[in-house]
Amino acid sequence: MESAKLEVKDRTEMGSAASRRFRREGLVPVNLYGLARPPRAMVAGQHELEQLVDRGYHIVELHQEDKTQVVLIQDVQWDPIGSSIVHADFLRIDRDKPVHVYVPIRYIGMAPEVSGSNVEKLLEDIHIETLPLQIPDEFVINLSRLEVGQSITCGDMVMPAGCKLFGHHETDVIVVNHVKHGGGEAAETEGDESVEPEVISKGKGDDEA
Amino acid sequence: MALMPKRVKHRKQGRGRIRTKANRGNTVAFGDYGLQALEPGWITARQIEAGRVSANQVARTGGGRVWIRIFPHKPVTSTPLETRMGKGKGDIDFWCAVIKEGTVLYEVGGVPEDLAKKALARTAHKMPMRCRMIKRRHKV
Repeated sequence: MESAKLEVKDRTEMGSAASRRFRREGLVPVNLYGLARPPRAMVAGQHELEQLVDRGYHIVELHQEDKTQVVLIQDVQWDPIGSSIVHADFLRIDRDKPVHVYVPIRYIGMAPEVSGSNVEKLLEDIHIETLPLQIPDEFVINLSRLEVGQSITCGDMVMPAGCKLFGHHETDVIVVNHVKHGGGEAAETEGDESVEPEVISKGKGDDEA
Repeated sequence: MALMPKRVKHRKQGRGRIRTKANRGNTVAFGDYGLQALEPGWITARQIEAGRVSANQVARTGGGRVWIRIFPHKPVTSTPLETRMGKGKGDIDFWCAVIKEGTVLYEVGGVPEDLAKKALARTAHKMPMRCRMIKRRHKV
């Protein structure tokens, strides 16, 4: 994926009160660090940054007055409702040094025998190590090739050139299980009598002794 | 059968107050879409069950799955009608889940967006607070 552009400005005011002031003005406090150089505190436009993150960009070109530098979006902090970004971390990158990123998995097609199988997607992102300018947009898994009882592990994923899986190769990405018919739903809805739960008594062991 | 804990440390609890927003359990973790509470409140075990049934009716037709992200841990007591005051705390009336603003209540996975929207909209009608549908957000 190509890199996106983002305008940033230096910030001198630090702390939670100043950060709240920035957010009220539609700005997000961001930090830039890495490559053994001193960290820098900056602000970026909230709307612009949210658009980049939602579109799945990893690499961003930071424009500051007349300077430009390519960075990796290292971390993004959302508010509790998840509607706006409250803080972001950018990592300085060396084009020849690999970085660690999560790449989303896109599932296409339908698993065969849907009625008799249960497709469990266990992973939505894969953690990989790759060069900053070779980060793939996504990994695609075709479900129509799967059969009941079959699974795909991280090790089965075909990695593009320059990408290396980071983590265990045995971790399941997707599993197609047999569905057990009958029983379940009927047993769950059976009877609605309210039985009081057992109370964990404190000195039970002492009483018995 | 409505949800209820198997074992509890104390039979009865005070009412409590919901002071903060949800700092955990506020993202889609299992499925592809989620139903997020936009107001704090209590959801009773019966309401959770009603929501589950309504979401399942739609999601299962599309071969999908529903996850319930909340559990009614809180016992709520009440004194019967026409009873004189006093004589201790009342009996347990129902069990409820304490919901903070931003909590993800249900999740749906394995269905297209339009079907997930339909399933979660039906569930939202059963909830005692304003809710919205959210999508899974990929890690950076």
